[in-house]
Amino acid sequence: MSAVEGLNPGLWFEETASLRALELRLLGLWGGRGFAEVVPPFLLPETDALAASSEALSSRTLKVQVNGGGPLALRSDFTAGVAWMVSRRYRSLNAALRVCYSGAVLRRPTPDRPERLETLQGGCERVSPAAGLEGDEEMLRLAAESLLALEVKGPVLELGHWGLVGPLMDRMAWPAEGRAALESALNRKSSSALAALGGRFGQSPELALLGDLLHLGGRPEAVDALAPRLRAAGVMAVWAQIREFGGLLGREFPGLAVRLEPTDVRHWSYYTGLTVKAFAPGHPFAVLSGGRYDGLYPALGRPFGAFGFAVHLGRLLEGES
Amino acid sequence: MSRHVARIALTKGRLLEPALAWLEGLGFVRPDVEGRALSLPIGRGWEAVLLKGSDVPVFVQNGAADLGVVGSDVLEEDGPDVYDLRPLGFGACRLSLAAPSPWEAKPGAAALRVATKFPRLAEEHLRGLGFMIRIIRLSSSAELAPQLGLSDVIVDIVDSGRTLRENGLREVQVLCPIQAHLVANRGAYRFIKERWWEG
Repeated sequence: MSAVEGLNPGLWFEETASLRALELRLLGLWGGRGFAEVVPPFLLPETDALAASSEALSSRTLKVQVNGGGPLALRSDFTAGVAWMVSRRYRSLNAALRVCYSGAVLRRPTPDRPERLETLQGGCERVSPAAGLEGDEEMLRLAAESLLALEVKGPVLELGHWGLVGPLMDRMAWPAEGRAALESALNRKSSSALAALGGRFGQSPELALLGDLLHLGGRPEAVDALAPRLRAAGVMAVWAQIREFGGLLGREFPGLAVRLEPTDVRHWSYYTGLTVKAFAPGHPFAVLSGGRYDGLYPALGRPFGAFGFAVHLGRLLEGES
Repeated sequence: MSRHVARIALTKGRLLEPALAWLEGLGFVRPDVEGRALSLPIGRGWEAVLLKGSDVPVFVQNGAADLGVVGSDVLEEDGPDVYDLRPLGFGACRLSLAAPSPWEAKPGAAALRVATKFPRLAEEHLRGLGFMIRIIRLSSSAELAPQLGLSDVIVDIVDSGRTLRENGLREVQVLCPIQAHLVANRGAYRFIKERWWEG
């Protein structure tokens, strides 16, 4: 039998203490902001889990069968479990629902996602009565506060937005294969892959603009230089919005570097608006990520909008060790 | 995992000399690579580590190196979770289908036995050309496989074509061009102060 890569060796005393300290800080912060803790199920019927997951995550979800019953999906994501719980309890909401969580998720590692099979996350979800922008500012503030609560040195918080990149990709109208390759090239910041795709699927002003958005180093003024083209592409209003959010966070959290990274998102088919990511020196992957995903609850038959983010506790602990 | 020295992983072998020349041209110190040391200071707060090509993205992906120089064949075959910052304009060669002479391509015939170090790329390109294939994964000396009856053809990196000719093979079709690329760790990319590679 071959060895399984990515197995969790468990947390010994010091690591367990570090985890509990991180959880206490985060859950304390989130509780103080009105987010109540829930424990989503570890097993869901496969069909329910898939309905509440992004396509990319579904392919990484592990499944089991118990006593000849139907297939069950192991928890690969808290957002899906929270959505399953919320959609079973509420047909409508009068006010925003604020929940938080902490625990383990299991994901099949892939070459381009080399995480452990089992990893630890904590996070927050704000579910609104309807889709829209309501709650973006609150969740961005909370993401910034969460990052500071982790007490990592020199963190960077990055903002992006589907509305800046998605409409450009939509207008290019490439076939599914081309669209998937395009999203992958953007996520890898690969100008050469974009050029090759342009040769294969067609050059356009939108593709050229996406290429210019790749290597801005998060500097707002670099994107401002592209303003005439952003205006011509009809995405200037969205740019102005994330620039405003960036300015707001910069003023309110002077200890935090805030950058704008419009193209660096892994699942454009999942997010529908603002996205947020955070990095810290010495940590090879993002330590926090999330965004607005207004498509999920309607897919479950509920009209709600939602914004959530997860703090990657497992990655933080690995970085510390 | 925090380090005071930034680290670039370089591919040993044919990509090493042009990579060192490229770094020298950007103001770095050319290290002595003849010794046994695998970790070498190159100035400006950077050190170079010398690795096998397929290990470069692993080191970069997991943050053990901030940047890496690696062939696009490795990037496309392994699909690592790194930023692909730019092609570097050196290390040009090609991934090709090669076969013993005489050999005639018959798309749609019985499954073609393909010996290769690049199963993902071979499958993607040969299926795209209409071949039914069976991949035989090797880690080296693919050129021997047809001679010894292990495979019908090979998919391998071709530079001058001399190794193919010396083993009774001919290049049937170029599947994709290859060159060296600069890659970066996702986290480290944010914290490298000077983007010297953009100059």
